[in-house]
Amino acid sequence: MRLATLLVVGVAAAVGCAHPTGEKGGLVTVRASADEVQKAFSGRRFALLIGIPKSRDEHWQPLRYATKDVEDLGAVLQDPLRGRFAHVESLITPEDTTRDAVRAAVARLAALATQPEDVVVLYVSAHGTLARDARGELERYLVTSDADFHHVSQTGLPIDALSKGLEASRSRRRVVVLATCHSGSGKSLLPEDVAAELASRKGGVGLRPLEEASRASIVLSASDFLETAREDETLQNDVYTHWLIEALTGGGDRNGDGAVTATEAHDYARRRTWVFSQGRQRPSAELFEVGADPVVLTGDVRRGGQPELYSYVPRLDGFTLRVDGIERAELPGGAAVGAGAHRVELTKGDEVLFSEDVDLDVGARVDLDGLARKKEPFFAMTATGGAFGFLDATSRQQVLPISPAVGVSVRFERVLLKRLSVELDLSGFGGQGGLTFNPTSPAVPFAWSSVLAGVSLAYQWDWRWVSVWFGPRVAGLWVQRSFSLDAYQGTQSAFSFTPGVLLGGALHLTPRWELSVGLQGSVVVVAVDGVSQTLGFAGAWAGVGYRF
Amino acid sequence: MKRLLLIALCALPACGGFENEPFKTGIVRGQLSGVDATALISVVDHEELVTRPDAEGRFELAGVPLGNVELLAIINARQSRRLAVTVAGATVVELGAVEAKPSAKFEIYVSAAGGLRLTGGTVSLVGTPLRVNIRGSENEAEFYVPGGCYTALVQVPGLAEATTSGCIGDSGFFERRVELSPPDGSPGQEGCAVTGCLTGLTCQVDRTCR
Repeated sequence: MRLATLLVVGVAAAVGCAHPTGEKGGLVTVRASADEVQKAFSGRRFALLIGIPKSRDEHWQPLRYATKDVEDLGAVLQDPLRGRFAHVESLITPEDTTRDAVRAAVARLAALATQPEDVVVLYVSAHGTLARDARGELERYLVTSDADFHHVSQTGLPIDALSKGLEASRSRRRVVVLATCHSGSGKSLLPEDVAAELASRKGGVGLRPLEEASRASIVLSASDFLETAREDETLQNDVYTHWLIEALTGGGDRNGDGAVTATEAHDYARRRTWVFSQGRQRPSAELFEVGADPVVLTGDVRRGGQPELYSYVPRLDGFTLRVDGIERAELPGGAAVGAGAHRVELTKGDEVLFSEDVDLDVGARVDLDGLARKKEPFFAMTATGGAFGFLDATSRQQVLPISPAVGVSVRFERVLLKRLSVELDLSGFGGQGGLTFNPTSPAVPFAWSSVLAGVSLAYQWDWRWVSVWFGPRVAGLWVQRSFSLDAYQGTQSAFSFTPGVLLGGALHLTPRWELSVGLQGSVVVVAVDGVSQTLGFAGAWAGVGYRF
Repeated sequence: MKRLLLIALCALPACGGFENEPFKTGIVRGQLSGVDATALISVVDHEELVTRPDAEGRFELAGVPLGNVELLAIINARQSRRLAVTVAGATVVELGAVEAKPSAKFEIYVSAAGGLRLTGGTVSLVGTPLRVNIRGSENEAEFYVPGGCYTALVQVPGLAEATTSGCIGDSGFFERRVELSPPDGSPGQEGCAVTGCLTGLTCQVDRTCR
């Protein structure tokens, strides 16, 4: 069986990035201070390279180039003119690549870094597989030299353990490279039950993401999940590793500053792997909040590099980066451009997500996702219509019936945090109806009017056309009932704070217009005949909104 | 945890409130003609809801429960009326002039078992405020009521209570005889020591009349 490769690079240290600032409608200026750049490229470099060509269990066929991958990569990293790593440890023998030995080596690597700026690289070229862990969840495992095909979860090494092992390090630039895959072909072999389960699924397999184990990471994969990563006889290496090494030897210095960073190397290897495999192997990348480039793997920054524009967030996958009208990159990925003012566009077919003039300084590194979000609408005003009422039938009969309502809501997105939104809503409702205390007697006619005003703090998930948000909500509910009866004329009113929750969603018809819906559930304290009652209160609404 | 939640909820600012009690009863008004001193209006099965009309026969009953209720109107010794009314909350049901109908006569004759003598006692119609004393040589009680079904409750000191039921049409006549026994049906516990014996009989040590 051919081997698949999964490359995961975890990088810490969110330092040295240029901070884009923007003026709406004008030129967006992106600059990085000299101190930030200098800090970003300082620090010592350490690496642990692990090649596991063979397991004692013959279910896994030997890998032809795992040892060579380690040797070739080690040569580049130790090269005094390129990587200049202070320490590179290579493990390739069966004794050095058992589960316990790998754990111990990772701990040694973690202990080497003494400063946040230090770069720590862990690279593994081996078989990968999937198995159920003790909790019954599907987990990625590294096939160590002592792994048993029939007892993977007891004998293999969970992939998460590698990232977790490095969390003890003081480095905030941790790089974990796993040249493995779990597709059931290439560099992996799956237990029959797992293979059957994967074969029956058309969607994802519900794996826990690796970033949970290490927030300080950039994840660069040699292949998408369930794609086959390959070794190649012509290249004499794992395919992705071959191009990664070529990038590290200088080919990947996209911005020409003299250094090759993790994402530069990945972008270089990604494009070539995709072309070499004729589109069958698509390396991917994800950047997380704490982890961020630049993490220099080889070379030194000898001069201010060309400004770079990049993105690895899934929501921009498939978009094309155009600079001054010229196609420069397909996302995820990046491109270097000359310093100065440029027209930067993100397009997909006829859709234009972003189009602005951007002023780029030497050395600037611009996250396109952040740039695009700054220009995206950040609040929506929605006219709503819906209905509100008590959850229990008795209150609907004797306090207030279900009422139609109209209102307006304002939702502010990305408040403090990227996925946090705040929604203010105001609804008014009223009508005429009857209170029923005895089914054989006529209802007691009355009129009512109410005002409901609330504020919600919601966590928001965004997809291309849809957004969903959910979170706590507190509101004030004021209700007035008016009676004009033979024996009773007058009004009664009550006010209560109503803590609860909000579930909302929006369908983005255009970048500006959206259809939204919402459900509110809350608790109301109402005194009836002098007795306070805690009642459930809910509402549902739909509306049309415009995003500003 | 649940308790803390309740405390938190109760501490939430809330003010005002709603009053539903005013809407749980209604008012019935009307006017009877030919009333005398015995006239009264009540709600069947709510004997506490009773009023007497004024000299012109006008009446108002407040606090009448919601829904379908029946009014009992005693106008005078010979006329009366039962009326079905639907009452709504906090509203007035105007009956206007209530047409009287000839009353039916309901007679109950009461006797005691074992030669016991009746001493006083009353008969009341269940669900109405009507109650009369047992009197006369034949220990009788009589009611002039509108046609309908009634249950009479007979209560005599020293003897067990008893009821008798029956239905009667307008202007009809209805008679029932009720024989009372000592409490629990066991002569001697109260018996003639309380009631005495009919003429010619003597109350014995075991409290029976012989």
